[in-house]
Amino acid sequence: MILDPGVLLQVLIWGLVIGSVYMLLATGLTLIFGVMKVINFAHGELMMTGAFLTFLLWHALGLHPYLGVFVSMAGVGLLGIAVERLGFRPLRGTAKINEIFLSIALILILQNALARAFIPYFREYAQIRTPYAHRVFDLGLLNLRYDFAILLGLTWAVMLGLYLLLFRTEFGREMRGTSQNRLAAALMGIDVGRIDTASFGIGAGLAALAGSLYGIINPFSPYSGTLPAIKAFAVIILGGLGSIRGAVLGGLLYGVVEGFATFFLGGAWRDATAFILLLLVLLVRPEGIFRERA
Amino acid sequence: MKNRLLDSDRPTPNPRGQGRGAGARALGLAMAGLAAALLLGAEAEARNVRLGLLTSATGPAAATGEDQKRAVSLAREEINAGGCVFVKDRNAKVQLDLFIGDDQTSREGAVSGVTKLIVEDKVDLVFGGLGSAFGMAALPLIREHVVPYIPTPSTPLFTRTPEMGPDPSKAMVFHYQATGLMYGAAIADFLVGEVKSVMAPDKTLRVAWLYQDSPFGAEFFRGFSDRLKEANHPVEVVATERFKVGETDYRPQLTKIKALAPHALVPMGFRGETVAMLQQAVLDVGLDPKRIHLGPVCACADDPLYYKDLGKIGQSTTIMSLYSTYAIPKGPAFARWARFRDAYQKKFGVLPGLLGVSAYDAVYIAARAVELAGSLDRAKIIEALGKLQMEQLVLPVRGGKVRFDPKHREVEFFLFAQQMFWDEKLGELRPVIIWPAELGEARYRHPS
Amino acid sequence: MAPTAASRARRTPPSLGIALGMVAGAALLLAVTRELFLLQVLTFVFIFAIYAQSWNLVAHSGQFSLGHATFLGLGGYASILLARNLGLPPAVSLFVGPLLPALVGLGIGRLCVRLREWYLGMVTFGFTAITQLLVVEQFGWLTNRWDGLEAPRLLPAGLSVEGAAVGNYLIGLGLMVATYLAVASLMRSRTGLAFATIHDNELVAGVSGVDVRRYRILAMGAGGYLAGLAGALNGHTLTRHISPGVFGIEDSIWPLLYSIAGGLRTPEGPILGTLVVRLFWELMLRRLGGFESLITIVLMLAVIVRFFPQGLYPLVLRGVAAVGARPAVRR
Repeated sequence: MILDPGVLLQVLIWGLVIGSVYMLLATGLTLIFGVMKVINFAHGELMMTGAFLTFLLWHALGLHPYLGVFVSMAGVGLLGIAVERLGFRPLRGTAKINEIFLSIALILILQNALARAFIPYFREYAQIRTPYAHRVFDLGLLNLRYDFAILLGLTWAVMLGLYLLLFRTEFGREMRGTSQNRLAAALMGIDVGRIDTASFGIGAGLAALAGSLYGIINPFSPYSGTLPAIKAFAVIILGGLGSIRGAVLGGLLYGVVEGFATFFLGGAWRDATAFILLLLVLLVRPEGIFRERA
Repeated sequence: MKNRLLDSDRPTPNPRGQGRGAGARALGLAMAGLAAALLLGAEAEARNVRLGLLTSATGPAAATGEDQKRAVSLAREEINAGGCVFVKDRNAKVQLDLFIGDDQTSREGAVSGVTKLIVEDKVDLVFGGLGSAFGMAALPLIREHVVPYIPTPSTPLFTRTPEMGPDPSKAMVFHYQATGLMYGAAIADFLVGEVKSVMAPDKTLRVAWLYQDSPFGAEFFRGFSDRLKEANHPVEVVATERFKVGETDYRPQLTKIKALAPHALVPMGFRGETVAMLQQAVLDVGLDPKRIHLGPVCACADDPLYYKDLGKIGQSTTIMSLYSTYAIPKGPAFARWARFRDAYQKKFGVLPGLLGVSAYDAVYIAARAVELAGSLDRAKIIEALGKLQMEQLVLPVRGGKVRFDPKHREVEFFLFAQQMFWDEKLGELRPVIIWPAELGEARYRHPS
Repeated sequence: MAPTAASRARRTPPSLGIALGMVAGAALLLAVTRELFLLQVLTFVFIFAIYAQSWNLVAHSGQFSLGHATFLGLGGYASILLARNLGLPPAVSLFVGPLLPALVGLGIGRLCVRLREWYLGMVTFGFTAITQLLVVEQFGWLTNRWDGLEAPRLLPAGLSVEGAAVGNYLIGLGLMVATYLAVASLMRSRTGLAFATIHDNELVAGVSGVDVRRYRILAMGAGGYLAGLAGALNGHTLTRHISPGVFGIEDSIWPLLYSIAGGLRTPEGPILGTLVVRLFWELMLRRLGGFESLITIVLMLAVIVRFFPQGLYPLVLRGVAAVGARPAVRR
């Protein structure tokens, strides 16, 4: 009875849903890494800042969550730009460890600032509610809530937009060029500083989208971003640092594997499974699945 | 308003010289001596009664910790305004002082929080707490320093061995909370006594559990399965799914549970987790409350926000309670309950939750124990707690008397079940007490 | 940018003198005050300085660990289980237990010998999550699952509270100083030179005849032992309890921050960093409480990194040199 196709399809969908969140996070991380060679550990905190911003817009101003998402993306995108300009740029050229330090410091600052601001009002968890909470598509084998369908649709729409930006515009060409070879790009007259800022802004915006969608389907707290971001970090290592293809496939794969591990082995396996997968892949291919180097 | 409140709750770094004469202050200063000791707040001769609340002031559980801090500050004000605590060997009425140890919602934090209370604040007694795991992590230091301890999380391990026998090496611990074993047993009795006749009248009752992977969750389940064996209840446990603390996506587990078609699902976790489990069960996975009874959930969920957050989908779910936010059992024994709730609401503008109430009661128990001991000597306070017997406070107890049974040093609480019904006027759920019969205002009703 | 190994060795002041200085300072403090809380805080500093020292040693060999909590936790569990279940005196299990994380370190080092930088960081972090799963699920019968284990105390029973605090303080101090001397001499030895060469450039190291693979594995094993020692010591003295919560994210991050604040790749840096950060933290907790204090700590660290990118230790050295007490220190 457990191995009924409807049940397995349902578990697959839960995996794809959370996998989409990992995918958005991982895409942003890999974009930033590709251009700047910086790992932003505080990506999960940017994610939760996005979730709280959407929550605030909806809760305090009554803005429709699916509109608020875009405001939140813009807001956190600006925050990301500020972080790049004021934080990472002055550190460029100094020891790598300083960048690691900065992103860890950002984790603690954003987490505690969000907790300080929100916990007294919303207690341990907040959740964003859409007007469609009770609306369901009947797909025969299973029912799917509108919110999940929107989540999947919105994620792919934004990914498609990103694809067009990267592969169909001059700006995208410059960005990819910088990612492949920063020095050559700079020599060719590309303003790599501008590319840095843009990639950080886009990455932060994607994190805000991930956080807002996460906050629509799950309760969240200022601490909820850490683990998804670490998993997204593992995803881009798995997929190959700097590879967007790797981030997309890796993110979805992680979500699905995690979902089935929870289903078959139990909740205790959820977090470790992702890392067992990572370990196995890296033992075979130390550079990740998709190796993207110029 | 918020900030003022936080400020008044914060322990004063140097409590000497509060409402006492200049002589005492000078004596205290003379005693202090060393500069380093001065900085850290040395012990003065004529000191107040020092109570240490070990709770979560930061980290994910900080909000519930706030409830405990508020409830405790209310109790302290009431006691200090009502003539303080008479300490015989001092021959004086002595004020209560409160100190907060922050467990930072982590085991490691609990160790440093309790260290601060014992070593720096030099409290006479430690009490309170939200998470069993954090209270347990503090226990080795409590034992080492032999400090009287009144924990309010639910694990029976506070006073027992892992085999659940009495543990004399924990003689300084007096547990003021219904244990997971009590809750689990009550859940078994309630499901068989009330729910079975409606959901599975002539069959074995199929029950699924989805519980927090922690001592807290495990003990509820243990209490449940022990009770099934002991009472030979006609129940089959079809699923025991777990989730890690902090996880809020339960869909894979719920999907599995749905496929196993139980008659009842017991979702066991903290308040936020419980709300998420129920919503995901009904809305996302599509468990039908008409065919699967959802509940009873943990008493610790019973908090104003639970009613607000859960929404309509909570219709007909049940909760196994020790304290109820909105339903007050009838009878003179519960007058204090209503008084406390009004005072709390008047002072803070919100209603308290179970863990706040437990800590409130614990302050009164501590004050009475100090009075009985007639001294601030820790050993005498422990002895007094062992002998203590007082009228029921806010939480209901069997026989109407609070006392710690000599074997397990636990209180025999009176648990009751409530069922949720949607109130169209309020736009929120409201509870009705349905079990046991002596308290119940109604019987369990099928959702249709 | 990074100074070469040889120049580093030349301008390091004699570690025996520094060790004596640390002991003298700590003893002086003990003579002045017996304030329990201060002793507890400093004991914590001693233990976590050993832990940071371990992270720093691994970093010295060019390996970036984001999963040091694996070693910390395994050392604690192994020692506590040896003492509880086999009746070994904690004074013995304290040194035997860390052999488990040392072995695990050798294993991880071997397994990840081809991985570098982020790849290594992420995989070591992954090991923390995997170890937690194993400890809770596969070895739950032994480890009591999420309940954790109570640790037998290192000091004999019947000691007064003050006596125990002083005892723990002295044991922590002794082991920290011993670790410091061991790491300092290791860093100066041929092995240390090999580590430093690998750190500076793995390729060059290989070409110049350093067995990169062997030394990387060795560093991970030594790091595993020291971190495990810190974990065991912490369990038997301060927390007296261990639970799977030890395999968390935070415990892997702090040794990194301590080391950066104090000064990376010097044996003195982790000690100084742990001391400064922890004392400031305790002070802030008292002044501000809660969320604000954590934010302040991080801002303080940010100031250190911004203005003293080499950490605080070079600053101290310069200060000492300026006073003229150590003419050996020249830039």
